[in-house]
Amino acid sequence: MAEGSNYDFLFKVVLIGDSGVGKSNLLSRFTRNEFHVDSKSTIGVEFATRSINVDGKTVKAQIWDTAGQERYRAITSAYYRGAVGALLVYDIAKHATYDSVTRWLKELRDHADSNIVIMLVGNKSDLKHLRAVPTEEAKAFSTENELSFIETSALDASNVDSAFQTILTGIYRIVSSKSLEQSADPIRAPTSDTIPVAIDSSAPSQSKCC
Amino acid sequence: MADRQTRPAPQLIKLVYDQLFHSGNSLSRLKEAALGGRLFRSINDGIGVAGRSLAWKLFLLPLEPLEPPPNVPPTPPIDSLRKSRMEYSHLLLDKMRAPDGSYVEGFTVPGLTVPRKDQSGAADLETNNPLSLHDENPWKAWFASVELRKTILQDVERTFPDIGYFRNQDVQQQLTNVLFLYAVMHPDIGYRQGMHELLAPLYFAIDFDSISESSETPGSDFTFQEICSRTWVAADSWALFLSVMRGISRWYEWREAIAVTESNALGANGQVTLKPYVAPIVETCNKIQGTFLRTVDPALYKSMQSAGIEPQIYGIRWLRLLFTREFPMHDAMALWDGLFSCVSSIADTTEWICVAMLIRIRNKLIPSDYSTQLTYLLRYPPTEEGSLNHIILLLRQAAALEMTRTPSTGASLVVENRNILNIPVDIPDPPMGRRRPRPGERGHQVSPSEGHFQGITGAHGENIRSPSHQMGIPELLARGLLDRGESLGINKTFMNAVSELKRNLPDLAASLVRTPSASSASYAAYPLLDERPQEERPSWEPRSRFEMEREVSEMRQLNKRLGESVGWIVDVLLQDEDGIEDAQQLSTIQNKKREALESLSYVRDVLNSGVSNVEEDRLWGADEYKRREEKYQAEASENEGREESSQLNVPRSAPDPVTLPLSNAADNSRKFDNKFASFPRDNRRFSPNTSSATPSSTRGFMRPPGFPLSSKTPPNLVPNTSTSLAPWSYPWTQAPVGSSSGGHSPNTVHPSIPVPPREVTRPLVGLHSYRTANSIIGTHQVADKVADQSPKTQDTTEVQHDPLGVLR
Ligand SMILES: Nc1nc2c(ncn2[C@@H]2O[C@H](COP(=O)(O)OP(=O)(O)OP(=O)(O)O)[C@@H](O)[C@H]2O)c(=O)[nH]1
Ligand SMILES: [Mg+2]
Repeated sequence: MAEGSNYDFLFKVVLIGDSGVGKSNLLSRFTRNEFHVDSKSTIGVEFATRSINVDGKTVKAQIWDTAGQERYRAITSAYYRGAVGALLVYDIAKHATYDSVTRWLKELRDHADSNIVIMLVGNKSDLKHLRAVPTEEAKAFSTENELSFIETSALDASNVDSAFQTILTGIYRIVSSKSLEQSADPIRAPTSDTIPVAIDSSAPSQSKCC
Repeated sequence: MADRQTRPAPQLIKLVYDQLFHSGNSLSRLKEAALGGRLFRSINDGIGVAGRSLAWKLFLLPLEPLEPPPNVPPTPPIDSLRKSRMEYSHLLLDKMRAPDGSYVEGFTVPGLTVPRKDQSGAADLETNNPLSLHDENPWKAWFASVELRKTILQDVERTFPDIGYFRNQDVQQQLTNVLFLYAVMHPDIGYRQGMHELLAPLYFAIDFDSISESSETPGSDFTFQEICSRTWVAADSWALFLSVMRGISRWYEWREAIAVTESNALGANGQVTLKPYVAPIVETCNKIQGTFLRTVDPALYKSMQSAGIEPQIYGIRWLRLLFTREFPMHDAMALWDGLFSCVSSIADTTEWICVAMLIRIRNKLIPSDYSTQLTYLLRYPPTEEGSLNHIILLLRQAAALEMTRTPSTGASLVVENRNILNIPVDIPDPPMGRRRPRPGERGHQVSPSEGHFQGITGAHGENIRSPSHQMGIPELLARGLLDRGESLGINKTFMNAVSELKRNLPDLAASLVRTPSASSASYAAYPLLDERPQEERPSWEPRSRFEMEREVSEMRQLNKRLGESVGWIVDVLLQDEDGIEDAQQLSTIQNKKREALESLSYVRDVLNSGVSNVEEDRLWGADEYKRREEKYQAEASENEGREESSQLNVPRSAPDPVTLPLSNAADNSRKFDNKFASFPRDNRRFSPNTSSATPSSTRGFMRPPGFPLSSKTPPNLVPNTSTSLAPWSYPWTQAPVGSSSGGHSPNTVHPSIPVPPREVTRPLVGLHSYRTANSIIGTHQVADKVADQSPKTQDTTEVQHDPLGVLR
């Protein structure tokens, strides 16, 4: 957290996806550059932060991770509250985790802000010989559902930074174009010091300068 | 780390076994020892503690056929184990059988032979065929169970990755079996992530203590060998797991979020009320933060609430795993020792431990913003004190909170944490420039100058001014709690607590903490420690300061009561008989005067002989006594009502825990102790070295925090006579009513409180009299002295509360 002392934006991003797809390892790879072959399964919630640079601005990502099996049940509202981005992770070597993606999308629709930025992440790309989900299939699905898409490996670190960078940049773009009209937006998350980002495109886009 | 090769010598396990079952110690005493971290020798050495699983088996398993009373030495729970072992084997055999009657290669079941493939089952190929799509196809269920086992294994493989023991394939297989059986047998709960981490330590402990059939038994005790039999490790872990889950499985429960019709939903008007499903764990979390914490530490509650911390975010893991991720493993296991030996349920104790854990880090939480608070809650800061004492302290604090749910108990925890764990009472100020974004600042770019508010994290450690050793308690409280509470304008509950604290400040200062300059510096270093009870102390050890204080205080109380009585006597004797014509009235007065003289002579006797057990009814005439008693009861009940309505939830108190260490085990070390005890110690911490050398009393229990603060004369609450149970060792329903000898009667525990004698025989008098007594003392007794300091005028009306007139 030491690096987090200075930032211009704080974005809350949630990791979702079935148990064992590698959410916690993506998180530890991105925030601490660590990978654990044997990582404990997540119980409840974990979170970590890392700041990155986007267009010369410091963007601090507050990334939340939870148990895949939990499906947020007991913590749904708390988990999604204020989240502006979601990484929906599946395991490229386990088709069942890819099949669950639609269920996760529904979960997001039900509980998260309607403007949340979603990225589909096929993890464990290092397991080439075990691949069960073709890249093209996932890519097509993403396009269809207007998600961005990337394949990563928490193990060999490929594309992990890139995944987070991409989604954070995407959020930042939306926010900075929005920040001009911030005063018009009535929604806020009063309980958190996350800077809640309005991505509500239906909000009146009257810019206000002072 | 103990892997299978490093199991302790059977002799070591046998020592604990003998301690548990052959030492003549009662179950409650054993539990008490476990609670105080005194049951095992080498508790600091690591996860593996020889004999621990035996204690767990004793505490967790039902004692068949009938639960013996807690004051009787327990017998080994062998019947219970035999039963559960057979159950386990049969279940396993049943649930692991594929529809064609086959088993997985190499599948074995302890105690039973796995049958060969059953030919008869394979007859109907229409249904009994792995490829059949028939609904009745038993293979469908089988495949589902294979899936379930996969899910479980996925977690089992990730169980305690840093403990080599759990990488063993066989261990993983056994764990999976147990969890699988649990899920199958409890379809309403199933398997949920986290269960694996509850089971694993149980399994480990049992395996650690296991003895292979071939090894020779020390003393050839067959029961011992049977209890520790290695054959049944998995089965026994299943039994313990069932027992633990019985208490907390609801924290794993979840149903789909559909509206649930309440069982009594059909109201008088025939309307069906639908209530949205709230997972039990969410309810519990809300209770912990929203009710418990709010009651005992309103300032912390307010801070977390305004930051927007939702309790389930941290609560889920704390509760579901029983703290195995919040503390290092060996600490967590010591915590389990206490959890399993608590008199109240595992769940209840767990909830209060959560509260005590929150209070322990209040210093870090209160000045922090949302994400910093969250960081502390999700990564619980390690207690710097390396020794186990902090765990024992936590258990004790949880028990104290549970019994006395008052802000003053909360405050006394803060003081305790300062004295024992060196956690400052002062709350560091939030760093300058830190603030939460306000509405209208959304998307606002925080300029670098004001953007360093996250720096608070790093600054924490250094920021905290360690409190001066010279600082007295009143000062500490005034700075840390009182002023803060006032400046924040916190709610009435808190203000009541504040005034309560203020009223008790002189006593706090006198009885709890002395500045090191005081002559008793060595004692002041351990203000909250109980000293050894008198009968435990060898003859050469002088009476403790504690006891002297208690006596002085008792004496004062007695004097006061005698003075009160003499006052009444004088009033009666002054009545004029001369002018009275009415014969009846005259005789009444004369009667009264006779009573007064009797009382006077009783007072004389008391003063002459130093009777300590003053019979209350002899201090007053019959009428006067009745009047006082009635007044007392009326006000007591009125008081109760008032408190309930203001949701203070205050009085639930119990006697002071004076605990006796297990005598047999610690005999030698105790002599050692005594020398230690008389050394001046100006170190404010427990010394880990001392504590490991002295398993019994020096690191035993401390006073329950509720008392010193809520009572004007805390020493009075210390029982004079031997008390073999800590207060939390009394189930409420087993309050030692009418225990004639040994001074267990709550009445002797509160010698100074004028409880009418008939109270003694009332069922559950323990709870009742503590309750009223505490509310009197805690809220009113000292009030007049400092009534002018009370922040609310309402408090001055409460001051009138003087049941027997003894307080003026
Ligand atoms: N080969 C490979 N293995 C991975 C990768 N990421 C994670 N794993 C492994 O997958 C397993 C599960 O990883 P986690 O990060 O704990 O999975 P999770 O999604 O957090 O699981 P839950 O906490 O149960 O929801 C671990 O054994 C990891 O070592 C990856 O990129 N490649
Ligand atoms: Mg995880």
